Amino acid sequence: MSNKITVSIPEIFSFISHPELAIKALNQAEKGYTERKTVAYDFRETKKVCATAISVLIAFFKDRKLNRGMASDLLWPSDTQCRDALVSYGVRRRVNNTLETGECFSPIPVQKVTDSIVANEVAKQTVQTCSTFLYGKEVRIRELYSVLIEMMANTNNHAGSSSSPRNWFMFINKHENDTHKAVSFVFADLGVGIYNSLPVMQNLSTNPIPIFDDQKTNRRFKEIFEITQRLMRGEIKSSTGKRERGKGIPLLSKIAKEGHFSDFKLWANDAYVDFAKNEQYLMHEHFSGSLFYFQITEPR
Amino acid sequence: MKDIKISIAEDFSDAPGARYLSDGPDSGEEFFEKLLSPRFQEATHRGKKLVVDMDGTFGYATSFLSEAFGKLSKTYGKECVLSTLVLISDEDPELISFTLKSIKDC
Repeated sequence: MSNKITVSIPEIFSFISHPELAIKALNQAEKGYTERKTVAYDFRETKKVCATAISVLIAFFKDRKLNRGMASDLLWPSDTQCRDALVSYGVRRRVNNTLETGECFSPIPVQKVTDSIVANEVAKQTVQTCSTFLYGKEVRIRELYSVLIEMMANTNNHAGSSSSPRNWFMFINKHENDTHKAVSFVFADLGVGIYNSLPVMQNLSTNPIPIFDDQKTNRRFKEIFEITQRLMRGEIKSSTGKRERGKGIPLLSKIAKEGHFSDFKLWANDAYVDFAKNEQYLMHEHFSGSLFYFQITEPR
Repeated sequence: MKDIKISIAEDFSDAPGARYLSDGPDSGEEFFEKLLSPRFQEATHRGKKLVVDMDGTFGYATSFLSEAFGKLSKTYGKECVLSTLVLISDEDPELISFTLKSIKDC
C-alpha cells in the first residue's frame, strides 16, 4: 500500500466561488494525513487560487495537530499567474512540515498560529498595521479588534477540547488599485466547527428520522437557516450552556450588518453564511472547522 | 471627596482580551480581580461612586465585559453594583447598554 496520496486541486481553488470543490480536496488531504500518508497537492491544472482555500492549505502544512507529522508535497501549477499567486500567499518551494512563511505584510506575518490563546497584542498590532495601510495613519478600528478577539476566543472555547486544544490561523492580505485600498482577512480554526459545537445542532443532526435525500436536504437547509438566525440573534446558548455566554456570534453578525466590512462570510460544517447579506446556504461537503472571511475596503 | 475612577485603557490595558485568565493576557477575569473588584470595594466602603471610563481601548470582546461586570454583579449583588457604578463611553455608547445588561442578567 502506497505511503503517498495525490490530491487533485480544482481549477478554481476558492471557498468563495467553489466551496464544495475546495472542501472536497481538503478533506481528501486530511484523510491522507489521518492514514499517515504523505500528501501531494496537485495544482498542475489549477488556474486560480484564493486566500480562503490557501489559508487552510497552509494550516495543513504548518500544524502538526492537523498533518500528524506527515510530509506534504506540492505539484506546482502550469499557469504562471497561479504560481505567482501561490508564492504571494506565502507558499514557497520548500514544502514540508517546516514550511517557510511569507512576510509580505510586515510586521504582521501572513499566517499566525497560536497555542490556543487569545492574543490581544496580535489583534492590536493587526489593527495598527491595517489602519496605517488603509488610512495612512494609526486608527483604532474597534470593530476589527472586537471581531478578532471574538474569533480567537471562539477557537479557544469551542474548537477543541481541553485535552486537545486547537490552534487558530489568521491570514491577512492587502490589495490596492487605482480606486480602492482593501485588507482582507481569513480566520480559520480547524476544530469541530461552530454548528457542531452547538448543543441544539447536535440534537437535531442525530435525530434518526428515515427520509428521502431531497427531504433530508430540505430539512437540513431549514435547520441551518433557523439555527443561523437564532444564533445571530443570540437566542442559542453556547456549547458551555452558561447564560452569559453565546454573545460572540451576535456581535459578529451585528458588526457585519452595520457595514463596517465590505464582505463577511463564514463556512462551518455544512453551512455557508454571508453575514452581510443575511444569506445561508447548505453545502454538500462537510468542512471540519470554522473559516471566516472578511474585508475592509476604503476608497483612495 | 472625589469619586473613584478607573480608566480601562490607562489603568489596565488598551487591548483587553477575552474572558478567563486561561484565555490569555488582559482578560475580563484578570481585570475583575486586579482592578474592578478592589476599587469597587473601596468605593462602597467610602460611600463613593466608581466611575469606569471605557474609552481609549482598541475595542472589546463581549466575553471581557460580561465576565468582568457579570462577576461584579454576582459577587456584590446587582442592586449594589447598579447604584455604585457609573460607566462612561463617548466612543461607543452601546458598550454601556451591553455592560448594564450583563450586570442585570446575572
